Amino acid sequence: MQLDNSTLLLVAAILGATWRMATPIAFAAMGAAYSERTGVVNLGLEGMMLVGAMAAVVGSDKTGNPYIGLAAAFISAALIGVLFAFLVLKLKGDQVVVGIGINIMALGLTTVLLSAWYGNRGSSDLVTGIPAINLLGSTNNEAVKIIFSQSPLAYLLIGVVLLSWFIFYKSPFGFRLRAIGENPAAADAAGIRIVAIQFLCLALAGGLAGIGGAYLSLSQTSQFVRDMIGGRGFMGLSANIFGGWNPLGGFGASALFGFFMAIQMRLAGTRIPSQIVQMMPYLLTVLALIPATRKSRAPASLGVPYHPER
Amino acid sequence: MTETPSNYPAKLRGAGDWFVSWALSPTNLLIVASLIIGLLAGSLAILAGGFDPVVAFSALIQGAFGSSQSVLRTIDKAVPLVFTGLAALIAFKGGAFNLGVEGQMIVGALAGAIAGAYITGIPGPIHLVLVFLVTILAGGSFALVPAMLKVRFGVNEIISTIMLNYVAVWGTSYLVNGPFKAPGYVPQTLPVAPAINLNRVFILPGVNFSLLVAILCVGLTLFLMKRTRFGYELNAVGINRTAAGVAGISVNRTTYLVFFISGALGGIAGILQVLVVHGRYIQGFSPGYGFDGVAVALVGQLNPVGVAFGALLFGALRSGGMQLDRVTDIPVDFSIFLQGVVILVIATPGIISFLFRRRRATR
Repeated sequence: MQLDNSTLLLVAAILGATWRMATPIAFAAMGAAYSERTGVVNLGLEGMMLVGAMAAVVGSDKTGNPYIGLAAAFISAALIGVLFAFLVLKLKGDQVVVGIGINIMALGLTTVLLSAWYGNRGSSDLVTGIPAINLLGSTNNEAVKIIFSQSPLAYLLIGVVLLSWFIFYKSPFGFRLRAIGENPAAADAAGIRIVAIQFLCLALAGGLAGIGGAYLSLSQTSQFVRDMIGGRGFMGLSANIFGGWNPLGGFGASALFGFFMAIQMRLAGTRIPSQIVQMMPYLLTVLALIPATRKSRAPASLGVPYHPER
Repeated sequence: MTETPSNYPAKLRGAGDWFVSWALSPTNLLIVASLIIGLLAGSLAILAGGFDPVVAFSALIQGAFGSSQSVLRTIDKAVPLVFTGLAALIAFKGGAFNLGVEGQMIVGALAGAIAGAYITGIPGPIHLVLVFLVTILAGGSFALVPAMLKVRFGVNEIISTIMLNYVAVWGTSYLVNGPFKAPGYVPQTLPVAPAINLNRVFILPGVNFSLLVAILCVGLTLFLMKRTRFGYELNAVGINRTAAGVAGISVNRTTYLVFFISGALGGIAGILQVLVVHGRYIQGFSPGYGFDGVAVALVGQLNPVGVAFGALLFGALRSGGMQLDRVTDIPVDFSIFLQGVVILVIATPGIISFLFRRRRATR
């Protein structure tokens, strides 16, 4: 088939935008996979992303180095993950409600600190962000250039996805963490250190969500905006389900949701009312849950608290 | 009864014991702990922002209860939370999470406001009833979507209700910026008919009509849960879906009803804001009343009367937060942070034994 150049560039632009839109969702989806594979429903990912987005901006602002902001995002969101783990695993809190509480707390906290540190309730100052780099800089192909003009974090995502897949399915650690999600009592009896692994996975989940948040604030806007996650953490949870609790599947589902958002951006400014366009990714996410729920099976002990007697 | 006057003091002592055991019940300890932890965490957050915690908390309390005006404002803020709290409560009791009350509220409110503004030529009372019916149908039906996804396809209602909130926000935004937009810059509908504007209908000086509806709904929910067949089935399904099904209860029908009632209560929360406060539907009229419902239901320990108290607590936080916003540089969002902390503690009964573990160990 002969594609004329402008069509090719349009396709490339949509693919590039899909990747950009998918990246924060996919980071959340990876976090969701680590949580849910060890049997813990983690609704707090949205709030952890928000904390990460804020910490990234503050870190970059204070040091002038956005990568220190990125580290701050990972660490602070991971700490929220540890708080979540402590409340849910050690103090036997309700997983769903604690997750909701984390989100509300994160929204309140980030806005109070935004107001305190930047004197503005809506958005922070502009900081040094993490701009896109062209990985294949030597190529002369315009389409390839458009697609591969991405933030380093978008490339990092690919590594995280592949590594997570390897950890889940090819490593003894992954075997243990999946065993916890399927049958914690049996895993316990087999001598697997359940709580330690769950703590680690929830901290990692928080950290990954934090990187997703940092991507939004450092690579897309270069500033923090109140409540800027806009449901991407929940979309990540959906993507994880849609992808059958498998990192590769979760990435694929995130790419699909990212595609919805890329199309939404293309439709902005056309005759279709902007609100309807804005609504589409969320509506399509709901619809995507229908086949997803039918074909895939959740970890058997997902959402069922298990507290070893030690 | 074989009571003699001589054991009257014993009975009194019994009453005292009852009070002590009630006051020290895990539930109340948890609420007290949540307030204390909220105070501590809140102070830390305020210090991190470079403000003075003492100033902040006194402004918060002053704003919530300091004057008759602030008490009235607290009640105003609490009333919508009674409905959204009951909405979350009904869903919880029926074994489902309805995190979509916010969306159901704005859908119901917009539908009711449109009926209130565009239907003309009928007597006020009939019009009012009609507006409530439209609201209940719209809010309830919107809640049937996640119920249907759950029953027919097994879709987890936690995710679907959250996503449908965004659908509701953008969908209503389209309607109120497009076909139903009143002239002017503000995305809002035309005002409702003057006959059904309840802005000036007071049941007590300064206390408006919504409080009456709220008390009525608390009573109705209590009756529904404790005295009707549906309440029995609701509890059975909530405790164990499979067992309820085996016992001959139609689990699916109960789930649909639970979601419909839940969504309808959300709609009522919204339409009262329309009829009593704004006189029309205004985009963004809710500062998250629907989202707070879950927390209110939990603070109320999943009991309709408890919900009323939970709503009062969260209403006080909102009302106090507004004062805080006015007199200090701390934004109203500080009370959102406190609400989050309260939710975390209430959801985690283990905090009590964690805090008191040392004392218990020394016994």
